Amino acid sequence: MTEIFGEEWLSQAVDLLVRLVEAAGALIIFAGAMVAFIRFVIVAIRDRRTESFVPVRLGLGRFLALRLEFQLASDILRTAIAPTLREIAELAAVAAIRTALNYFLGREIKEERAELAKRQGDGAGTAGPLR
Amino acid sequence: MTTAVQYAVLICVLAGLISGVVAVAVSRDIRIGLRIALDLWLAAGLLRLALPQSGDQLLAAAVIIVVRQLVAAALRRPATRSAQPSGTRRDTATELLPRD
Repeated sequence: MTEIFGEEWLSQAVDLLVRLVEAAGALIIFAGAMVAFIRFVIVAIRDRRTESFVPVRLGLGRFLALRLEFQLASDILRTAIAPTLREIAELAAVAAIRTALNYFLGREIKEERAELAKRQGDGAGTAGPLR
Repeated sequence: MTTAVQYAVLICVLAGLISGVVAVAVSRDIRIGLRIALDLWLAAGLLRLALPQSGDQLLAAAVIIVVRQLVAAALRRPATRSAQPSGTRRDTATELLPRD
C-alpha cells in the first residue's frame, strides 16, 4: 500500500497533473490569441472603425486572465511536491507575478468595459433626439 | 512540448505585428495599433512563462511583461487627458450660454 501511495508515486502524479494543466493553459492562450487575431483582421477590413476593436481586445483580455488562472492552479499543484525552500520561493515569486498580472488585467478589462458601455450610452443618447 | 510552445510564441508575436500594422492602416492612429500589438505580445509573454526555465529567464520574461503593461498604460493616459479638456470646455460653454 505504501509503495502505491509513496512519495515518488505522488510526485509523478502531481507532475503529470501540472503538465496537463499547463498544456490546457497554453492551448487556451494560443486559441484566444488566434481568435482575437482573426477577429481583428475581419473587423479592420469589414468595419474600419476603431471602436470595433474594443470588444475584440476585451475577449482577448478574458482569455489572458483565464490562462493566468490555469497557471496559478499549476503553481499551487507544484507546491505539493516542492521539497526545497528555494523551489518554494521560486514558485511563490511566479505566483505573485501571475496574481499581480491577473489583477491589473482584470482592472484593465473593467475599464475597457466601462468605456465601451459609456460609448454605447453616448451613441444611444445622441441617436435618441435625432429620431 | 517546449518546441510547440516556442512556435506558438513566435506565431503570437507575428500575429501582434500584423494586427498592429492593420490597425494603424485602418485607424491612422499609431497608438491603437501599438495597443493591439501589445495585447498579443502580452499573450506571447504569458506563453513564454509556461516554458521550463531558470530564475534569470523567468525574471526576464516577467520584466518584459511588466514593460509591455507599462507602455500600454502610458498609451492609455494621453487619450483620457486629451479627452478631458474638450469635455470641460464644452461644459463651461453650455454653462455660459444662459447667463448671456
